[in-house]
Amino acid sequence: MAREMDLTILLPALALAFIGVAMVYSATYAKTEMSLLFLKQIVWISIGLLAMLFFASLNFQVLVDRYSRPAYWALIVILAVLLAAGEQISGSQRWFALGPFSFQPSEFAKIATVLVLAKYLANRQDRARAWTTILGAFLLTGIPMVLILREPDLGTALIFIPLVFGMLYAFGAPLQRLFLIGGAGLLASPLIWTLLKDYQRQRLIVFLNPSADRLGAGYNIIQSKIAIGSGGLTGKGWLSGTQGQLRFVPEHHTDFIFSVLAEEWGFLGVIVVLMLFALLLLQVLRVSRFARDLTGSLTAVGLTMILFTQVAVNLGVATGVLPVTGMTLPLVSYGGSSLIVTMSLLGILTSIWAGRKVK
Amino acid sequence: MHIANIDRRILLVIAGFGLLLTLLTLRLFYLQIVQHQHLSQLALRQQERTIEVQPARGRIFDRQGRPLALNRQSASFYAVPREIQAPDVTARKLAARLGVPARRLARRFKSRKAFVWVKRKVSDKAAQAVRDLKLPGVHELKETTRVYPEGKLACHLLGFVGLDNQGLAGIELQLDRAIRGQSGWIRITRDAQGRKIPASTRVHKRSHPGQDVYLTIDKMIQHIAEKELARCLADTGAQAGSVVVMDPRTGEILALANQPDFDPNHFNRYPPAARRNRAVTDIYEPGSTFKIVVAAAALEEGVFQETDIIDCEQGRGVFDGLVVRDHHPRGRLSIKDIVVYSSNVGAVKIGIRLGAEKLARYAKAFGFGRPTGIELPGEAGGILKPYHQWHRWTATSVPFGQGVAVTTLQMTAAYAAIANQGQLIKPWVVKEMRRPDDIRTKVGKPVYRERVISSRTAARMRKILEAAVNEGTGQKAVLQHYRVAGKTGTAQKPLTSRRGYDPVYHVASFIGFLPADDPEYLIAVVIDGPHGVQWGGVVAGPVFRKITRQLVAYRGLPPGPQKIYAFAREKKNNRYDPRQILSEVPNVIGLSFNQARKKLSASGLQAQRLGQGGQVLGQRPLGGRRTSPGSPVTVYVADPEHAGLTDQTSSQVVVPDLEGQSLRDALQIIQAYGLRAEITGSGLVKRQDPRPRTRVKIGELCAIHGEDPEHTP
Repeated sequence: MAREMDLTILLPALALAFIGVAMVYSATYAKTEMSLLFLKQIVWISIGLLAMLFFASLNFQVLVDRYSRPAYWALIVILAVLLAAGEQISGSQRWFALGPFSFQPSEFAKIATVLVLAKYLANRQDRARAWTTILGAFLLTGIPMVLILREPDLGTALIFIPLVFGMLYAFGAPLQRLFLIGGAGLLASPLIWTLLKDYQRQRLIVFLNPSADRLGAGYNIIQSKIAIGSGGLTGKGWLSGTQGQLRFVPEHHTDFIFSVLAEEWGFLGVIVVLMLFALLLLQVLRVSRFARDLTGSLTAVGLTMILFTQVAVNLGVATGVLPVTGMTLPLVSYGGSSLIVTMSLLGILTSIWAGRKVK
Repeated sequence: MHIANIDRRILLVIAGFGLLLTLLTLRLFYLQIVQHQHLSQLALRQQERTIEVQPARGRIFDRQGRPLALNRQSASFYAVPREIQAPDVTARKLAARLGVPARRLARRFKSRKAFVWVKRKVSDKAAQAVRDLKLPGVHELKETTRVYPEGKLACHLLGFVGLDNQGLAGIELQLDRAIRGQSGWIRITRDAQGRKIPASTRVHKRSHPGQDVYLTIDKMIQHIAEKELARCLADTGAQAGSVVVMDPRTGEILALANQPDFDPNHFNRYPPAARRNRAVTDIYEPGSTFKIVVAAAALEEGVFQETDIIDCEQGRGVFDGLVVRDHHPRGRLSIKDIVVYSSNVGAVKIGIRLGAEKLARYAKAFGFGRPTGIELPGEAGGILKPYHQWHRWTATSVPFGQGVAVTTLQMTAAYAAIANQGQLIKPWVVKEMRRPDDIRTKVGKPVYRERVISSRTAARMRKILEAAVNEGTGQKAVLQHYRVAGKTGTAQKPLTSRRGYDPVYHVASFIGFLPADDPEYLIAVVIDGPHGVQWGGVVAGPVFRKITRQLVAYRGLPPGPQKIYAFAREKKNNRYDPRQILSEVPNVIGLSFNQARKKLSASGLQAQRLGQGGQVLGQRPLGGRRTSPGSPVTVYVADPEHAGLTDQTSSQVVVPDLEGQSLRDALQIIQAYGLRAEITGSGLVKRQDPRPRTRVKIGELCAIHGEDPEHTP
């Protein structure tokens, strides 16, 4: 199995991960004290590689048929328990402590939902146009989404929306029905507004008018833009970015790692990173097109939605075109859960590719 | 067909993301290439902060370079509220060590400001205590603090500075621009928490320290003046008072003291009234000291001769309905005696004969009604109405010093005109200003104003004033062995609430100079509202005497009558350089008396021999000093082995044996040795301290006590 491991997914992923290590090193680099975060990141990458290898070597059919449903329901229970009594980290209950590790079950819930949804839709291939199919899909997505929204983790919860729409669209659900549901969702958005926490509302307000709160929530967006802009064409050089180094950009080794990169490596460095992501995108396209069956294809689409919605939103936030959502840049940002989940996801894609139709 | 449809849709999804990535690339292009310069500038601006670097303030010294105002580095603490996690705890800890209310600190720490002061210019001990706390968000800054090492000494002259080292009063205010120096800037790269990053600190503009100021004040004389003024206030219960000591030849102020006083190191602990430089800013009705104006004018105009007799009507005269009384009623007096016995009636009669218009002109010429122009802030010009505004009683009250208001400094300047051959001189206090590189930026020079009276009239006035001390109201000011001239004043205080004068309290004053024939020191003493005895002669006269006694000992003024020396000041150019007029005294120590006499006369000076022997062991003034041409130099002669004085090169001398000498001779011997004398008793020297043949430093104090021979058994 391992010999069939597809390097065209692994290599760009590894490249991005190591760019991430360099950026984490630079972002946490201090003249006075040594920060060991980049070493931890390397450890996370290693664990992530093992996870990727594990999922790649797993038979995709077995994974979907046997494990996806129990995993899905187990995660929903965990999320519900977390809501009741979770560990408080920066004001929300996202983290679940398991021995020395703490992980975010919401990250894994996304993958489980994709798998369950893919299987559900593939089983209803003959009723693709039926309302019941579509509403069932929304129900399957909605349960974990609402739980995550209540945690509250707006960023992760929002991922579920493109996920379900993307999968339904690829599945062949009628566009006008999807638009209908989308329109209904927009009309219901005041309801969502009431579900939001104060700080989440604040972020949305600030996004609409960043200079309203220059030192508060708007600060992040402005500082990030300044960092990116001051990088110019070629950047200030590794470890020399003043915006990140001087900590004007907050959370610069996690959510705002991209602004550190843009400042230090400039537009050219940014292009390289975007090219690597584009390469990954092409590979994923290949996987979904050549998947053995509909479940594989739809899974690939769902996972793509997760991965690239994150990429697009993270970059959109960093460049000031989207409100601050707290979404990491997959593979590059510091963080164990995010890395392991992303690499597991890539492992599943590799597994689908391995079981592709042979020409 | 169906699969193909899925393929198309998947392609569209992927293409959608591709489009998103492309749009993001465009956005990045816009930010990084198009907006690059604008955003770079924003980055630079927030990363760099300009901090003003205060320059070291110029120092202030007395005329001999003794420090009066210096600087000290002290710690100030500020906080960056965003860095403080527990504002209440931090505030409480700081409050306990700095004595600032915790609540006020906590409020500052909770503010959204980037920078708040905790406390500025903290004592070293408290600063260390705060440092030891190692509180996050609390930072230290070095600032310079003004220090006045002599405490209250010369406080009104020096003034004081505020927290930002800005001059707020006195010389500190007047010369603030020069003393302050130029601020510099440091541009510091900082991070988002406002912390500066030491490695990237770079100076953009250096600060330039301010200029040093050398005053004409002599610290010792200032000290003497302040001490005696304070003692007088304690003795008499007066509320306030001023003393001005001036060199009437040049206009240099040697001392300027006021009571109440304050400590400029802690100026805010004193009421504003204590911080007023009364001698310069406060006006009073002068009373009898003002009689010099009418007397000098009458003599100058020739309306009276000194010997002309005026009927003073036994101390009660009625002029145009105004009743004028005398304190010491007399009958017929000469113009001289009118001043000597301070007759108001006589003064009015002189004024009437002189004419009001001339009186007004002379009063103005003596400098009244306008500031003297001294380099001190807030100087008052006094009140002297122009002649055309004079009331019909003005002319009958101005001659004895009512209906005019003056400052102590104006009175000093007016008397200086009489001491100084009739020429008005500007009082001044700034002797020199120097840049830190020792280049002089200003050298004070005497400024002679218009001639008020002829030098002949001035000389006659000096004789009259000398008589006033020796025969009249000023007898308490007499200083043994010296010729003193001066005038007393006991002025009524106008009531502030209504018309008329205070029935109880007066302003007692004495203004005089010595030596009477060629004045070197002019001293004005003004005591406001003494309790009990009100007479200027009784209250202020002794202050004058006590000050002059210490002054002559300190400065080594030779006692005895002096030859009147015509000062060559009546030049077309009314500025003069003392160096051109005063000759330098050669050093004659070690020579025989004959050699010394020749050397001295070659310099245009007279040798005055004192003692017996083959070698000059001491001289006064000392070699290198300057003195008036033709003036005597006292030379002490003895056999070296006899006197035991051997080493002339060192700064030590052997105290001579003075027993049996007259006090007057002993004083001269002591001064010839370069020692200072403190004389008590009278007659011949009985005891001395230090003992004879002791080795002491030049300039040490030598106390001698005399007893009259007939009192000793």
